[in-house]
Amino acid sequence: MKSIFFRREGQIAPFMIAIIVVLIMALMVTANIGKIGLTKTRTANAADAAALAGSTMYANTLNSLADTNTAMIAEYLSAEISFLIPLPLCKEWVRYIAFLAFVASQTAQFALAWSNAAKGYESARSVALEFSFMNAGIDESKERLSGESYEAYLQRESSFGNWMKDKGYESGQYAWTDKTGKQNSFGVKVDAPNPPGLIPLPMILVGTYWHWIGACDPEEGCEPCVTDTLIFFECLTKARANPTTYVLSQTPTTCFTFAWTLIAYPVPIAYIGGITEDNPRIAVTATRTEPNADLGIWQMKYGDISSDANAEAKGGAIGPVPDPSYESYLISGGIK
Amino acid sequence: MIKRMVLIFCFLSFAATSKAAVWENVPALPQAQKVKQEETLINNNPVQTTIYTTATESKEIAEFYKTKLTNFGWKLETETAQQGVNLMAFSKQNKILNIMVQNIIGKNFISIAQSIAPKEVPKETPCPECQKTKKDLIEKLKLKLSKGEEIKEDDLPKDLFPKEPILPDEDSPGRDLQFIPRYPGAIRTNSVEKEGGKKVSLTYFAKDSVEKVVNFYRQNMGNYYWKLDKEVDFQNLPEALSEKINVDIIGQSLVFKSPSASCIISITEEPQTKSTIIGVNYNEK
Repeated sequence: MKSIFFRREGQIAPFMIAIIVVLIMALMVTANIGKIGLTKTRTANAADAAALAGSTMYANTLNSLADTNTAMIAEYLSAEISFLIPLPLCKEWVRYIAFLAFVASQTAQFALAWSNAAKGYESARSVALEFSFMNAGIDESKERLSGESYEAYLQRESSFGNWMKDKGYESGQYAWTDKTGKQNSFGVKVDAPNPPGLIPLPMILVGTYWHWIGACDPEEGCEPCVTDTLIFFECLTKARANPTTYVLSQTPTTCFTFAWTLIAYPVPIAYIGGITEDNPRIAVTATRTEPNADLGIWQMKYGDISSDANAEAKGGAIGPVPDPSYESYLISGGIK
Repeated sequence: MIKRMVLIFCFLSFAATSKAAVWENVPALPQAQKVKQEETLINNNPVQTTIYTTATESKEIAEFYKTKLTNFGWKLETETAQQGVNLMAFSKQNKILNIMVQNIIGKNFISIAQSIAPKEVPKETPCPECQKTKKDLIEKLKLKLSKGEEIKEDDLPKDLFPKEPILPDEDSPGRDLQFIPRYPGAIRTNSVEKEGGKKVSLTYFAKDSVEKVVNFYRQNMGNYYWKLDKEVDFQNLPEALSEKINVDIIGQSLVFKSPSASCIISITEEPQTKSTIIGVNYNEK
């Protein structure tokens, strides 16, 4: 009887209960750490992808501007030297028309480059937001509609998919209900560099003119030479009468085989003189708000979990005839 | 049959090469980097252009070309320096060599163009009322020449010549592009062809208003399979842009695209005569 009463077999139970409680707590802590870790990984992925994608887009924009810049300068130099190819003097109006057409074409190209630069900036921001939401791991539940076949259910876009298609990501904020019926939200802030600064430079175009003057032949009585000289002075008078033209210099004109005149048109033209950006940087902050978890014993409050990342388009400022060599790098980010 | 084919081939080869000019060798400045070299047809006249960039000072560049080209038989015709731009013109037989040295944001650029001298002599403007004055003047100037003296501008009466500009009244040599319509009544004033016709710039002069010409291109480019891609209205540029460009242009640029090319047509007003200038820039991909 004594031996039964004082038996020691049940003494392990309190310890077992204590061990089970500790194990449950450890499991809950592990699960929560895992959940926090997963959320942190998702926000870090979202921020890194956004920064790198935005920066790549920005680098592409700058490379495209560098190409445009080289093409415009080469075109300008080529046009400038072709205006130096001599024309007969009285044709200076024809050349003036070509100058005006060239100015208009260069101005249009500059305006298009300006608009592309602004679009590139907008695209960098937009792509950063898009990539951020694509990599945010949004686990939205998709309800099956009544009477909907499984095939139709799979083919139907989720409300998040539709939101992405409609470029809802540009708002930078998305809220959804997860499978447990709780509210989640994800937000992104993108701090993108300003549109690249383009500098137009005024340039002066110069035209050269070649005028044949007959040589003075004593047997012919020098009359052709005098007539040609008069025509030369007539053309010079007309060139001077043009308010946009001024004569730079002229060689002696009397009865030489030819005479030279340089006429400058002070027409300001626009081309991209430089792109004033020095390693533009894009900064992204991704924040996910997790719903609280009611675990029966206590409530887990997760709150906001955020990550940030910075990426840079390295390449310095772009000068005349640059090498389009902008590349994007992630300079900070990852899980901290 | 074979003979005919050979003859046709010879004729075509001749036609294809008849425009090619044999260019003189122009020495390159040591350590200068060639940006580009191209052969262009300007109003049907062949021109060879070469562009270099260098760190050498512009005075040294000018001296180099003056010395070297003189040794190669070129004659310096004129030289001028204006607003940081050095210009030199050389001649050798019927060839002309223009050299331009300028600095663009810290880099020196050398542009060289070799061309054939034009032989055209401009026509005198008819002036029935000044015939008597001109006749007397010619006699006076002939006398001056026979004494070995030079004719100077001061020898001429100041109001001898009319001062109106001579507007173009006929097409300059060159050719239109078959797949870009020409505005009715427009006169072609300039034609530049590069890369065997892959890049073409044409300039026209029309007496109608900018609006009318713009409408013509809007309505007709579609018939030639062009699609309007973008428009630039010079009067309504974004404020920040117009402040920077500061160019007073009235008109529009229409940017057209096709699967194989792009074309910018700039239609602007010429301020003095209020006529319209049409610039066509065609670029094949």
